[in-house]
Amino acid sequence: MNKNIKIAARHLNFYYGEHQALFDNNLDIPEHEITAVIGPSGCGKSTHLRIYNRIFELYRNHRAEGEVLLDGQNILSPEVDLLQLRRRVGMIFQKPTPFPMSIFDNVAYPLRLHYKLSHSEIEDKVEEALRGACIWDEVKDKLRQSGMALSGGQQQRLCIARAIAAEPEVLLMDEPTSAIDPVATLKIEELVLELKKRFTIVIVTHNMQQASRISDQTAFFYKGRIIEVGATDQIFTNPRNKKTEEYITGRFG
Amino acid sequence: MKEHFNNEIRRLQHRLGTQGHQVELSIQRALDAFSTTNTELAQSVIADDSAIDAEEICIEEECLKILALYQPVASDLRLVAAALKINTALERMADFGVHIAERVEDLAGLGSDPAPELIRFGDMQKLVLSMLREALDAVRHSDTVLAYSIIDKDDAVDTLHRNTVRLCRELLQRHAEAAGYYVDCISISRDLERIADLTTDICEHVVYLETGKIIRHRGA
Repeated sequence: MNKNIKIAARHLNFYYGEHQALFDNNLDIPEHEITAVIGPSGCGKSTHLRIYNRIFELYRNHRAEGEVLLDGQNILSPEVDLLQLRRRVGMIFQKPTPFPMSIFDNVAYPLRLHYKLSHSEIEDKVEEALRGACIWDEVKDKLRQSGMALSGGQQQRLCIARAIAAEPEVLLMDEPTSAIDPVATLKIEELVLELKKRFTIVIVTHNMQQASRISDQTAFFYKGRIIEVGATDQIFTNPRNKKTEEYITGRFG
Repeated sequence: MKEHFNNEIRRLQHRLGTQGHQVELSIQRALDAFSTTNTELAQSVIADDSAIDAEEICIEEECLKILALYQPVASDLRLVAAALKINTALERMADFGVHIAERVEDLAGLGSDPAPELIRFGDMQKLVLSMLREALDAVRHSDTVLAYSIIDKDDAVDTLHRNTVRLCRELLQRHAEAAGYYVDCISISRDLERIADLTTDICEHVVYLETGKIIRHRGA
């Protein structure tokens, strides 16, 4: 069965000034699947992810070459509307990044930014997003309280609510549970599995068990190159590449 | 962390190797007991089986502990999965050895001349024992070439088994008074054939362990 490819990276190179961080990356991200990106620190996995919504452009001297096709359209082309791109491709970071405002306003923020909605429509969508992020029951009685006062795991789910409120098509997650305890991590993993019905998800993770638990496809990065991409069960039972084997079994370097 | 894991794996491999050796000895002794009608030796094979059973449980617990504590993946996962299966196969082989030993008592009851024409298991016995020995070597050295060569020998054992059963049936009709002896011989031939089957199972696990390929039922 041919999968629908949501994002296709083609001959992607990336430079931090003079330093080349990615080399000829080619990767297909299937729609409504979870793709895990693994690899040792500094292998380029986060760098690769950050190209998908061009968030790297916030920094000077960072430069991407090649193509990233989102539904066939090259998002690296200068004509692309960045605000629109980042609505379509949302991002969750390693550390929860709630805005210094109320729980309600955190989630309403992208709604006000991207859509013209009445107050009651915004209320409905905020509730829907908080429910979608499995945090509604915990915050419904304190929507006016600061988002910063929640626990780490709750803050991360609030950020997921904020990301999905904008109704993106793709969710990029850059080590979303590395700053969170194991119980909250499991909650977020279950949430991610739930979210794949609605979104296409790419998750960068240092936690190999996390990659094996939740992802459909795994890509292994090493020194800026994609060494192996395959179905997650194949990668974790019988990787084809020796480097992948060494990395996932902890026999590295 | 990796060092702990490697130590656990080494310990597991060592225990599995020792268990394999014990099983091989047990089967060898059961066959010796049968060919010499040595009831004392047969009894010791039966008595010693409980140690093999106990070790099977210990090895299984060891594997489960490694799975739970280290969550191995890739070749490490395949090694533990293969160890679990090889462990079970070894214990079942030992049970067939016990089954052979249990026939010795019957044989002794038939006196020094149990049947007018005796059945010789020499060739089959030699082949099965050499397959078992080589299979244990294949496990020890993760040798898939050796494993495949042992798997190929299983057909020869099947042929020997079929021939023995056919011969026993013919002799049974001719010498009805020795029916007990020939029925025991059919049973022993079947035990040897099952031991060879389990030996090929072990070899298939070696291939899985090394290549990740499951080659069971490939003829089916």
